[in-house]
Amino acid sequence: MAVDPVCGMYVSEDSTIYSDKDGVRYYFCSQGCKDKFDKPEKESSALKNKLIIAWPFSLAVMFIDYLLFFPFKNFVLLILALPVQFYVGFGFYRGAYEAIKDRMGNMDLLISLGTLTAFFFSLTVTVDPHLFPVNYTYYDASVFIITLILTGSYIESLTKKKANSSATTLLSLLPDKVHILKNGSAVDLPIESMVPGDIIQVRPGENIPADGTVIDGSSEVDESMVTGEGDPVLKSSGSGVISGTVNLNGLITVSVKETGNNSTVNKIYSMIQMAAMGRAKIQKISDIFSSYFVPIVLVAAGSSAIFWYFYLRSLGNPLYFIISVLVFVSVVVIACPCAIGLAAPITLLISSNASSRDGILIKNSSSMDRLSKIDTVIFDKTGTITDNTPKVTQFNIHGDERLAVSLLYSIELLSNHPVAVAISSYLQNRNPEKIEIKEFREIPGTGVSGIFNGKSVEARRFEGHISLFIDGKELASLEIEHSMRKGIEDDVKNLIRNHIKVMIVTGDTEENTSGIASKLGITEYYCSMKPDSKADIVKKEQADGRYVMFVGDGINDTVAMKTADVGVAMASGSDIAGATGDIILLNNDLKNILRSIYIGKYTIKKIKQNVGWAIGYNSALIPVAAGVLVPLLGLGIYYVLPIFAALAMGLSSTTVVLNSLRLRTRLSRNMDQVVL
Amino acid sequence: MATDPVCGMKGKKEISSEYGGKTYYFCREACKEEFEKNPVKYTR
Repeated sequence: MAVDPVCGMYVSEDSTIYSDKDGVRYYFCSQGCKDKFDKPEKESSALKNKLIIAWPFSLAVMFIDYLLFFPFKNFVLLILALPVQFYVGFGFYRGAYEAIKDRMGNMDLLISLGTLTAFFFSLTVTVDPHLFPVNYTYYDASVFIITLILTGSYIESLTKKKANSSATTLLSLLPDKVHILKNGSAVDLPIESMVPGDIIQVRPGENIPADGTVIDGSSEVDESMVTGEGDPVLKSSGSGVISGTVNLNGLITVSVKETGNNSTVNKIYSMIQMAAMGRAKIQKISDIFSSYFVPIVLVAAGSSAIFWYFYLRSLGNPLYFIISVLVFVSVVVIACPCAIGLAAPITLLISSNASSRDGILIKNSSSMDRLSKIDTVIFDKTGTITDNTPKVTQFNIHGDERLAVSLLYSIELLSNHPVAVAISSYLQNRNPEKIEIKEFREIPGTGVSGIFNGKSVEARRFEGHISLFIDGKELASLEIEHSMRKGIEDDVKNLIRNHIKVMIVTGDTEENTSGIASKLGITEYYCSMKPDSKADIVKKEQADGRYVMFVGDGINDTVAMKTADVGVAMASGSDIAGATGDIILLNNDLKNILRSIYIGKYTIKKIKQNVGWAIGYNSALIPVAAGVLVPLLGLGIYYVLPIFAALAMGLSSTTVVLNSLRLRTRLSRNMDQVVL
Repeated sequence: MATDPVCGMKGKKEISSEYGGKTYYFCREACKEEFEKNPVKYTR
């Protein structure tokens, strides 16, 4: 059994209403939910158009019904109610029909039952005014149920649009047209026609339309919208570029690697959207509620109506049939579980959008509950606490300087390893000559090798230094150092201030780790650890009852990150798709560790508030609709109760949405002052 | 009604795993495998 990602209702996997997105099939309780999922942007304009019709007609019905008295008034009301009842309300009936066809219950079914009962009862009275002791009609209730509920949906769709603004801004970063090079000249074509392998030109001031590699030209690129890092990055031949970033000041030619749904910007967009579709553990409560809700409501509505029918009849009250119809309508409408279904998805949507603003991508929202409980943070060292790209601190040459510089530059240029990238960019300032290296090989963990003029060339990595050998003879050596990330001292201090245990678990040596640990005030650290032993330390902490977050570079630390309650991957730009982890830090800012835990805590708190409110609201108002207040207020309340029920239902969804929206402000707080 | 402890979806009767004297149900094999790697993560 699947869960409708829009309304939270249970749906059979035999249902014919589904959508495939990013390799996952989503099932829906109705076509309306599917439309909301497929084309969320169209939803609010469609609702607005319907409301433009619904409100004037509904107000006219209300005005005439209560303030004017003239012959054939009920016929006029009938004519005014028809457009709202059957045009505006059509979506509900379609949804109800689909639910009945699939032998399921959904909210459309409840709304349809409520509004159609009121309408057909009124129609009967209109056609035969003498059938009942009084000839009152309830067109006002039937049309207001539709109008108010759709107004609630409209407010919800506007809020979702606002909540989703970070995600939609990302997609707007892609240009409509691209300059594709065909036979040496640039042809302007729509972005959709671009395919991997195309060579494109990106002019100064333009947004880069695809992920790729610069093959000609150089320019500074503003990547802040994707990575969150403020400073422009210099891109030249061989540099990777990310879709959606801005080419600031140079003409570059790019070989296209990924386009459309596979491009970084689209992947980030999908991740933000998918986070909102995830299931937090807390949603179990609303799931139970939703799965039993429709039958329970129908039984409650039916039995209340039957009770009032027989009770009033036994008292000799002539209105027994009318009141029992109104009881049924009120209970069915007031009990619609829209707010319960909305409680978690809307909060997750707001949370994932607000997080992405700070460069935090929550890839797996089912980890949200665990995230809220994190009390231990384990850092990997290299590439996490320290910069991924090392710095060359010393360069010693033992022979021909020109040859050493050019050879080392040329061979390291062929590798993408962070050490190789650091060396080739360091040597670029020494005007190296680009030499052709044959039979290039990269030996993981060791270095690179190749052939130059029939001689073997090897740049081998050792602990803390790299040596260049030509035919086994050392020609040069470089000392390298990984510097600590900027601001890490404060980030660790803030974690410790919030009573979070901080540890370092690294594959590096004691010598390279102890200094950094003491500088950061971290007393517990483990060195020379293999990937499996890192995971064992995570398990040991978990066995002690601690909730562990492992922060690593996303490639070497996969096992530990998967074992941890929450795995956080440090990713830079284009690594996003490949990175493992429940959370991905786009800008490598470790301030975001505390922020993530904060996000987890407040998102779960908000979901709990919303679920509690929605369930409380339903539990409290169903008895009211069923008539518990009649002894106090008299049977007269049923003249307004159906409309009140529709208003309450619309308000309950709006309250949930507005309450979730408050999360945005809270999550934008300065982490230096945050107390968990 | 059993919820898959890994992804939060509804579990299926035919895909289950025992841990700590309790049976857990999963929506698909992948969730079951993920669970069995480190059950502590999903059972507290």
